[in-house]
Amino acid sequence: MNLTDEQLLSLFCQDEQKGFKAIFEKYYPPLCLLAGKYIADMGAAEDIVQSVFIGIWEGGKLRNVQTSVRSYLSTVVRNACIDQLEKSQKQSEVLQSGMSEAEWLQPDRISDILHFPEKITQAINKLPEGCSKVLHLVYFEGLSYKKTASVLNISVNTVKTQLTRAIRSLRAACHS
Amino acid sequence: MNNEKELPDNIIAIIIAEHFCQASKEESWQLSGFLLTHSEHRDTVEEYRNLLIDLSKLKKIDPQKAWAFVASASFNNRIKPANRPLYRRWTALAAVLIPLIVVTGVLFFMHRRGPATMENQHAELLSASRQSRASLIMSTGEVLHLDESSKGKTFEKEGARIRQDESDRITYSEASTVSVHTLVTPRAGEYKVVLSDGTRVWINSDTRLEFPTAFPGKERRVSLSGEAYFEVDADTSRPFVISTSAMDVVVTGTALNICHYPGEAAITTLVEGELIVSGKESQQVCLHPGQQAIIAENSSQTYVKDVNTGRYTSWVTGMLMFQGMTLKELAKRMERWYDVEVLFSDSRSQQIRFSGAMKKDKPVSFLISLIEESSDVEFSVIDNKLLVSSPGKNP
Repeated sequence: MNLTDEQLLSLFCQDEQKGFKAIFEKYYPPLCLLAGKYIADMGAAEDIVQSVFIGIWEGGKLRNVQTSVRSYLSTVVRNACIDQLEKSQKQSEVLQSGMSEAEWLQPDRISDILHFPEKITQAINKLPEGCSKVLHLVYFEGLSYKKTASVLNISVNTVKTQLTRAIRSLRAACHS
Repeated sequence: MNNEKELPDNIIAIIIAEHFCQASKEESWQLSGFLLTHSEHRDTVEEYRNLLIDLSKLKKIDPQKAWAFVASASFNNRIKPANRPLYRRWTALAAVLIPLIVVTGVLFFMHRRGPATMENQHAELLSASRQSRASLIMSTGEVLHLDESSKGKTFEKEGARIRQDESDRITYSEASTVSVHTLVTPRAGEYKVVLSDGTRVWINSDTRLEFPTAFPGKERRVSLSGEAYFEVDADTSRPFVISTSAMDVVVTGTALNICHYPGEAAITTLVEGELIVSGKESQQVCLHPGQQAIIAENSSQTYVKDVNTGRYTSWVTGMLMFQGMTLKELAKRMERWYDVEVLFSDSRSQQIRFSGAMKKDKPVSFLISLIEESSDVEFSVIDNKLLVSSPGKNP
């Protein structure tokens, strides 16, 4: 179920809790990835995104969204990350110079990041069976190449070849 | 975009293997070698590494669990923000900004890999430090090289009287005719100039400042590419304009820092007075002291924020500082500050963040030891370049 921003907002108008959940389901993983560009630790990045959603609900912010849901959410998350980084700086009493490159993510780069989870999921689903199995064991299950080779009864070389094929496809999918 | 620059299969295989910690030393060596001889492929290698990193990050995200928490916190009106238990505790500062470097001012090497060998063999590279050096280019194309040895000398160039009154500064007196001069600092260089109207400029490394030898008109205009600190001679009848590729900064009498290197964001920090930042593609903003304007590369947006200006002007008074900066970004600064080349043998080390401050007269070996002491990355020298690697991947 992949709703457009318009559909999400209209669902929200009809039933705020249902709409909020739908927006969360669509945007939580991409926004965590975005936050992950600013905050090194993914756990902390997820905390920030969760706090952002809670804050948006409590402040009734979604009722007034004029621009797209996507730009609104990415702006709020971005600002929250920068605030967090600055707060940490004050606490650590370390002097500051320059900006981290992540702060200057461009709109189209942000768009790429937000679309990444969806594109990757689709691309993974389209992989041929051999590639897909190897990717699943190495990536999802975290098995070593040796273990993967033994489980699938193939050589380690084949594992490497299949992974190369898989990652090439994923990269191509992200560029489309 | 990079179709012509596709990588060979075996290289992609090594990048993937490194990400999953399945690469052998020989394979990492192979990849480092490939990067050294095929610098045009660096961006593509980066792309693959980032793709793999994002993939792994994605795997860790659990939307169901997160929703359970968010829903209970949002839809249950009795929970007040202050009492809400966090699904995850806010991780300690160290996890967000890791690691922290505390500068003690004492230089010492961690004797981990027999650094004596590296020090002796590569003493010259490691002792790279900053110098007061610049080139002054006249409108005729004539070049004057400036360094400490020409202190006290006076030059007459194109009707302008230029005096090197300090080992690292030249001062212009009023000129009889107007011509355009350009002051250029190399990497690891820095210099100062006093323009004919009395405006003082501190110029950082790898920077170009173009300026007229006199300001007869209604406007005083200069061009900048790189980083410089200006103390503009106050004259409300003749605004001072600093132009970069992204913007014009108009000041009437102020102290400000501008940092705009090619391919990077344009950052204007106002210390005193008032100025207007007029982006070429973005809107005009007026800054007050303590504020900073940032125009990201290729952006049509100008962001304004409040900052502690000392942090952005400390380079003028002798400190190099960085805050929560990834090693990748820090390496870029190192290249500019010390005129060295830095390569990475893996993507993990690039993402480690550092904060620190050090006196800018220290050689690059000082910064290297600070980085090595507060993390597990290791520096080595290959082909007169610095190579950064994670432990276990060192040749």
